[in-house]
Amino acid sequence: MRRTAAVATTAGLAALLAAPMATAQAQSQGDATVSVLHGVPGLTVDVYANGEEILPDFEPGTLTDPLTLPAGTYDLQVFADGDTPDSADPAIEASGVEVPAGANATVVAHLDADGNPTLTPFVNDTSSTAAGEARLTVRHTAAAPGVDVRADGEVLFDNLTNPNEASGDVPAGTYSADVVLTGTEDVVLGPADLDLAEGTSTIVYAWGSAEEGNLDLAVQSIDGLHSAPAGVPGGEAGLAPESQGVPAWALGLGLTSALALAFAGRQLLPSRARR
Amino acid sequence: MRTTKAARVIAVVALVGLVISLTAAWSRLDPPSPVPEREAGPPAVSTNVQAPRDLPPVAKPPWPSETRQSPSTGSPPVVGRDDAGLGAFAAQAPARPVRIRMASTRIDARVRPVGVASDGQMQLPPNPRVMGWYRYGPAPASGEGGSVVIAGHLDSNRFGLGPLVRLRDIELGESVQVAMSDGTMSTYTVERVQRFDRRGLPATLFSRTGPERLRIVTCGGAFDAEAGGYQQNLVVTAVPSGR
Repeated sequence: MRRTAAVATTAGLAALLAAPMATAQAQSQGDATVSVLHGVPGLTVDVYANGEEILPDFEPGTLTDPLTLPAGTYDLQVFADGDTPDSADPAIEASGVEVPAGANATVVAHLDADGNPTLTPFVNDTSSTAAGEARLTVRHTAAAPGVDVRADGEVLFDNLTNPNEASGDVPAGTYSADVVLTGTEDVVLGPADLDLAEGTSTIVYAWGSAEEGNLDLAVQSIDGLHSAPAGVPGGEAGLAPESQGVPAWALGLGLTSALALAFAGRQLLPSRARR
Repeated sequence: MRTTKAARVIAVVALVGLVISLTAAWSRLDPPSPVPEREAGPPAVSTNVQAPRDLPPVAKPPWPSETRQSPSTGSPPVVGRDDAGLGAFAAQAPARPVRIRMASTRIDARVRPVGVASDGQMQLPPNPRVMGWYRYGPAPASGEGGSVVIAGHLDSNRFGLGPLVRLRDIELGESVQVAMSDGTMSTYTVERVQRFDRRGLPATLFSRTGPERLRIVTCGGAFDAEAGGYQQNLVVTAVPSGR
């Protein structure tokens, strides 16, 4: 589980990884993949990176396609729709967000546990899943207390709090998932049928505000993580083995024939000799 | 005189027997089939299997993108975005193979979707007359390429020997037909017949990218009960015909 603290409207966003912060994005030793999720209810925004607008009219509950960005450091600013860096202060701001080469990350604009807008970068686990399995990650990005995440009635992740995540690999399939307040049966979200596709990472975000009554789920999926099965069985009775050498019946026939030939030869040759 | 005649008959019969046994031995030692065979050995990927490496691609959300918007004004780059709600995230049920037919070897088997067994191997229907399609991989003619894997048991303790014993006799260039649940039919042409050590099946067999291939898999080789049964996998690779 990764824990990331982020503070709204300050320049103190934690780095994605413990890499030293660089001041410019110029160091492009490679690219990173970054998606952005908007999880602040009721606020259409424009998103700026390093002073340039990258996402105009970004609506709550939407997720961007994965963006390929040069690795580096980014200053992110989120403005209420219509505001610009010249006309207003940002609604949310995060400076010095480190985006390492090769990383796959999702930056989430959401409410913290107390209901203040914030930005949290999450690193997405894109390691391979075992054959037949799917990865489920749940991220608490809602203004709500700690929760338990249940699948088919059983607690899968317990006491998940904002802004943390929990993750695990489970057999692929459809699960009935719900979210309850930690240690209770009080369902705050769901139940919802969740199709966890094999070889795919499904990331579920709880967002919104419990107080405002607008808690909701958002889903991101990352596919192509599958592995091949360990093998193919194919038989168990041994009724049709393929021998690698000369088959037994051919050996037997050959041996019998040779013996018979020798016997016949003994019968024939001496009789001729007698004449 | 009588013994001489009997001895001649025995000699002739014995000669015929010798010829037959030698012929059998010769054909077994030097298979007439032109297929590249690969005997038990290290699990190195056969050079014949040319599916590209299966790299985890960058995520592409599978849900529809009707909520995609373009920027209202100015120069900002267009970044695709989608509704991340649960409703936009529904399972799909594409057509699946239901029957496979290889007329030349008189194999005509029902096909069921299968997954992974608890031991991590591909799951197979217990009855050797029914074959399994690896449902996590591509389906025939899905348009996404990759390996369609259909496999079956050669035999079973309960059901006896199945039709796949005749898969050994399949020849290059022969036709394979796969009937789909939506009534369509996909036809393939046998391109390659390979044998792999049972523990050395290349992962590329299950590749989900690259050109479309049909891989028909069963067991082969010697049977060694101590070492877990059949020692090889027989893999027939077929390419889409006329597509």
